[in-house]
Amino acid sequence: MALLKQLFLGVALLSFSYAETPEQELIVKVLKLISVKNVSVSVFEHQPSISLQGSTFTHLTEQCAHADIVYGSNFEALSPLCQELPRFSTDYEVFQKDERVIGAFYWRKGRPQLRFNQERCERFEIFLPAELVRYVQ
Amino acid sequence: MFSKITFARLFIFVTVLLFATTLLLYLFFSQTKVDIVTSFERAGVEEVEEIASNISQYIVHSSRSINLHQSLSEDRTLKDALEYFLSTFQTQKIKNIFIVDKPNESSILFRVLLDGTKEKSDKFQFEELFEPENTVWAEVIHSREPKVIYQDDNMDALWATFLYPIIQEDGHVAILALDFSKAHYQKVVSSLLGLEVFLRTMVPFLFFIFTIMVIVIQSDKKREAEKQEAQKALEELNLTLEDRIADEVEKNRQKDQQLIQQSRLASMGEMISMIAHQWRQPLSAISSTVQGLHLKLTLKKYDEVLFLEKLMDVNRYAQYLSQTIDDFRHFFKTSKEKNQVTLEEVIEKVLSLIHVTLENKKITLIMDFQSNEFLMTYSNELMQVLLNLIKNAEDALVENQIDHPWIKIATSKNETHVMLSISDNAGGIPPEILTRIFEPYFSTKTQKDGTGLGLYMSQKIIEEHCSGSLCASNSSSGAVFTIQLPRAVV
Repeated sequence: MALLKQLFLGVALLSFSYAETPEQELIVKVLKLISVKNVSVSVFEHQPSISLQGSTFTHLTEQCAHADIVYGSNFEALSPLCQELPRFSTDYEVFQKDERVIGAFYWRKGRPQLRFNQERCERFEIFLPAELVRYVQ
Repeated sequence: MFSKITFARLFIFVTVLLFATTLLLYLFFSQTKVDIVTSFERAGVEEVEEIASNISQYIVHSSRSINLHQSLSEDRTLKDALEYFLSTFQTQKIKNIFIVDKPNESSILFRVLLDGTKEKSDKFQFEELFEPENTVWAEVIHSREPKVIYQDDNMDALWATFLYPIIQEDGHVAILALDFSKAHYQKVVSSLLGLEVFLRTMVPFLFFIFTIMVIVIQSDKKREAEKQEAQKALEELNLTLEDRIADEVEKNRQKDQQLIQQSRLASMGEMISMIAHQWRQPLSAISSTVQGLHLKLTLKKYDEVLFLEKLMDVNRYAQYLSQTIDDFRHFFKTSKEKNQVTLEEVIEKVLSLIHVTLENKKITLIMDFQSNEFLMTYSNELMQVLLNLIKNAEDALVENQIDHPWIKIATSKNETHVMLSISDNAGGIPPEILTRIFEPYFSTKTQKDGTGLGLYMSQKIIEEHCSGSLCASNSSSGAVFTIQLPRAVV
């Protein structure tokens, strides 16, 4: 009985820890779809408004050196090593102004928005599958 | 005052009535709710549509070109003025108000032209691409008809978007989007929905109650019927119980009578044998006396004194024979009432009947009388029992061919009872049958000699007629039958 209780608690905690918000789910899906030279991207998080910690995304890295892309905001504060990496933002203004931001996920009037910049993606050899091409501006 | 069944029926009726009423109310209410909500919706939408229509006219008239996008691109002041104009319509009821168009026919993204939002973080930039939440936006462009988008298609959603087509002079269509609140009538809608849920829940609930009631009442009816049937059977049993008891008692009495009769008939044969033994000696005495007298007469040697003596002897023998007959007749009479006797008197009477038989079989009688106490009992019945026990002892002694056979008859007493025991030296009763000897029709004798009723009847007489007890045991020499009788109350 005690074992069953522990098992139940374990499953409950595991389910809880892997519970994704709809926003997390969407960003994870996007990051899983994009690739660099046919290889899924590894992501370094930097002050994102929607963190991917605790999500089902498994390619999060702790160090910029191992990352293909930086996800988050306030990119000016990034270390020099990370400055050169392509970026995925959660702010439309940053997406507009920062030439390294290849795409953004943000909210407008309660509606989720996803945008990509084709030119920047090509510059960083980032491949956008057909599902994401429709979001290119 | 209602009976249980009537109350149950009334309850069922009320439940059915409630069920039907609730069902009708639910059906009526569902339709009414839709009408009420639709009416509210229509009123809300009409209000927003009127605002949208006015804005649209103003925007179209303000545009200095045949195309709004072109006008706004050329004149940023116009853009700011129109956005300010739009912002004046933002109230608690209208949250967002903005205008979009399609940059080209194939594009799935819309292009924002104007946004009345003041908050900078949520404000669209000019020409910012915008992805609508569904295809209704494209339908508005195509159909040029206003449409409403409800959040999640829920009637109780707090926000809705009204899309109003702005048809420009060049035929290009832009969309005026207004996110408007439904909160002002949402409370009413929520209450209606709550009431609908309540009624929807009540219908199956009342149906469930109705079903349960029907099951309970059916089961109750069945139980009631069973109860009444049992009660009826009990009443019938009560009515006939006395008769049945009387019948059974009568049957038992008749059975007892039959057994007694059987037992008596069985003893009768033995009695006849005893009478024969009793009569043999006096009859031979009479015969020899008469023969002696006859010889004296023949030899003419008789004298009067001797004759008188001998005649008196004959008379005494005849008296003895007569007495014997009386004794036996008396023995077969059933005692109607208890009489006061001592055990010793009863024993003497029994021995007067049987002593000759015992003497002939050379059975020694040993007497040990320690009682001499009067008791109230049915003496003839007691005599029958004693005779039966002594005959049993005699039969056992003869059958086992015992040397120096004896039967001991002893009496004793204590404070409450007098005791009589009849013992012998015939070897005793086999232990395996000791508990069965008082059962009816149980006998160790051959069919010819025993009926199996003697000891059964004896125990019945002692226990039921004389209020005493009769038990059997074995001593070292043979069987011991002990009768215990209550002493007479002085």
